[in-house]
Amino acid sequence: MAPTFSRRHVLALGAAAGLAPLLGACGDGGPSAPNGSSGPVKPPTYKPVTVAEPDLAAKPAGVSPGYFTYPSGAGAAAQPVQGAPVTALTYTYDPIAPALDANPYWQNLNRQIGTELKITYVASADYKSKVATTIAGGDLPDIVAIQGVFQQMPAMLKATFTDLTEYLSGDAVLAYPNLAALPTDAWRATIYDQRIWGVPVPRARIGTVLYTRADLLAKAGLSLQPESWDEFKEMARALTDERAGRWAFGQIPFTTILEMNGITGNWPGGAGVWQAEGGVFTHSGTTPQFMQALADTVELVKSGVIHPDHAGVPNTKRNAWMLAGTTAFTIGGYAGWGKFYGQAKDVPGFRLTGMLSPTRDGKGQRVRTPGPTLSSFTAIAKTGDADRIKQILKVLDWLCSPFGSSEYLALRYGVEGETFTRDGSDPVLTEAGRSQVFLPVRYIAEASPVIYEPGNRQAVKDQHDHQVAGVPLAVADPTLGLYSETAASKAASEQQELDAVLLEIQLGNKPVSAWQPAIKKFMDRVGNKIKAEYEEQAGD
Amino acid sequence: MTSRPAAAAAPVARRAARTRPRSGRGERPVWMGEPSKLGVGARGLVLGLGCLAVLVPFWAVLVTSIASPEEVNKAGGFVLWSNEPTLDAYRAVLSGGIVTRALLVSAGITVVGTALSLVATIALAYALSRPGSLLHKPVLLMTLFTLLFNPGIIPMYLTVKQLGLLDSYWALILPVLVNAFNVIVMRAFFQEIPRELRESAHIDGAGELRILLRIVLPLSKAVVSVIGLFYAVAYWNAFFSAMLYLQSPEKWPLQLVLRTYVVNNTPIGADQLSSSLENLPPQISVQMAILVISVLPILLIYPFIQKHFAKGLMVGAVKG
Repeated sequence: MAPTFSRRHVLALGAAAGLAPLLGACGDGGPSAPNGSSGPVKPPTYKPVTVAEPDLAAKPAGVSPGYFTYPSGAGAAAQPVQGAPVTALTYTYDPIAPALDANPYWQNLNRQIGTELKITYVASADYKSKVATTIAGGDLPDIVAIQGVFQQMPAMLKATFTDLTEYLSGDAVLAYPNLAALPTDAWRATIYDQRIWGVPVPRARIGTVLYTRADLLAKAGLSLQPESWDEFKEMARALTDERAGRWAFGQIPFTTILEMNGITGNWPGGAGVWQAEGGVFTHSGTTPQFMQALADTVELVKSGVIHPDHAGVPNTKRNAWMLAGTTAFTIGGYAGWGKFYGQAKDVPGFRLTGMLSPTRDGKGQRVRTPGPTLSSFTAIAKTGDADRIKQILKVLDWLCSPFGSSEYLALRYGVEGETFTRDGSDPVLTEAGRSQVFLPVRYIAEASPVIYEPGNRQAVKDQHDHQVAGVPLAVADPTLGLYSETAASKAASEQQELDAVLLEIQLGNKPVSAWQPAIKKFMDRVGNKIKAEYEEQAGD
Repeated sequence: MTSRPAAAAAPVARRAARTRPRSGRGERPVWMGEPSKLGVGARGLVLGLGCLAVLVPFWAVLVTSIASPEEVNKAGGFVLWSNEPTLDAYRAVLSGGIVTRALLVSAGITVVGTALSLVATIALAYALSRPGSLLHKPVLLMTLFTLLFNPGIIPMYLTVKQLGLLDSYWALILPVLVNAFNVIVMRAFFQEIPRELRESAHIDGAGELRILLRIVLPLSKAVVSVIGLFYAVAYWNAFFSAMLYLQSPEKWPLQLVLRTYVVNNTPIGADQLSSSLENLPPQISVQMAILVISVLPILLIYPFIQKHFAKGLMVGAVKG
């Protein structure tokens, strides 16, 4: 493997529980979070664009707007961009799309943008190797999606990509209205050494969701929101019937238990574990609340409410359990929410909600681990040609056209009558269109996510409700906008060791007391150094 | 058993008479007793279970790939019997012509690559099997060296790039044209061929090429077919080099295309695309359909080479 792999990449490979795909996909939130804007550079001014009024408002801040139907009579939100073709390298989470000559969706997109897009892409799992070799080979395309954090990230960006600060910082971004509508937190993750290096692909702030089969809970006469640890355990017991082959959980709800004890973090991987108070950073693994959470976890596992095969099966399997009613919960990234409806279309009465973590005693302030602010950011290969940079930014601006605009239709659905038809005002992809839209333009640049489940008002409402309830609880990640070289280059193997100890404790193979020496070793080897690096930058 | 022969002599003799004319092989030697019914049953049971352990996963893969979404949901995973089989998963994978095109690409790379690899490997192995050949020692050492040290991803990429092979199918063949391990196996086989055969051919006026083509190769069918299968499987399965060197997705071989279906089918992908995925078959069915598609060609070839396979593998086993 190339030496330029980040710890996050290793984490993604070591996916053992619900969160790893999210970590692999996203570049923020953890000790290796990309870095930032605490100093002189001004993040791009935030100015939302709305082409169509949402049915459910984007309030409070950070909540995605909800739409029951696709807005009709949508107008244009961007100008066509003239100029030379733009080559791009990105990743995808989808199967591959047909080539340009057999892809009317792509042809139409090129026509509408006015600039030809030439996209090279690989599966996200292989993307790190592809980027590493491409950068090493020195033959970069015009734009490259940067996913995760590399070693020597600031130096690599400086040597290889264009500093976009003068084009995007502060009010300069207003020349690209759709880019100005991207959330500030997402921009923060594109800033290294006080320079802006790319355009973020933003993600919903809600983060990891404890997906709940509301229909199963309702059938059992249970509340959709337990208010304390005792109620939570009671609910889990009520949902478990080993003889009937039913359990409450398909994996250990460790983040929920952490949050119940008042601390945040996604494990394995340890994203979002740093807390800051008065400029002092603390790893939540060193707190007494973490020890309490471990003891709680062991208790929950011992009570037999978790599927006996939970350890070591892939998440697709856990999701299948949830869909089949074998378990009532599954844990996954928010971005996967919409997919469940398609998979559950044959499950009678299926209703999916998100459960918030209660507090331990049912009193006090609830907390939540926020999601990553972006999936990746798109950087422009080093060039001094200002006109070319502006042209490329205009193309990216075009790709960020908001929900409801005619550009958005072209980006997500293609050509009416050819790649999609209408059901009322809702666009429906045709069979040919379905594979054509797999072209991963959305992993180059896209507008902030919206909630839209055509023909399923309840689904839109459930997602919006969860965001409205959950987003305000999110504890801001203090490392967002900071860069720790130790975290990016040295923490990977230490974190793996820590994750291994954690799993052994959770499964009851090691006593809870095994955690103290493990976390001490972690802190001695890398943790204290990471802490110092963060504190130094935060103090600037 | 001791009291049995007297009573059972007649039937045993009759049975022996019945079996003898059929074949000389596979018959029970005289000194072996009759197997008891229990013994036969137990052996049958063990062998049957062994076969099941091999066949059931294949069966589950096949059935899951054709099961309906309800059945997959109900089973929460693998399905063992489908009452309403559907080819939707195959349709989803094969629609759009991408997979069929990739299949052709893979077949082309496998056929051309295997042929070239065999030519190069046979030539090198034959030269190295003759102690007196030009630069014998250094070439042998260089070959062995590649067994121990791997150049790593980035140096390989730079080499391929400087040779101008990026985005060319040759990038999938030339860097892996000769595999040192295969050369060593083949060289060992060639060395086993009696020297007298070569010498007599020499006396009859044959040159080295003629000896290789007329004497050595006809005697080496087993090892050539085994090494050929090794190469073919490697070319067929290769995806990483294709991922690195091929820029245009339309040139991707089958394994890389199928990989995007398998590794990417995580619940988190394709955000905001949910509505369009509504009619897709369950992930697991798609993945199993992919498994069937990618395994099938090798499964079809294997029976034809199998008879050489055991023989070819023995080469190294006995002589080292």
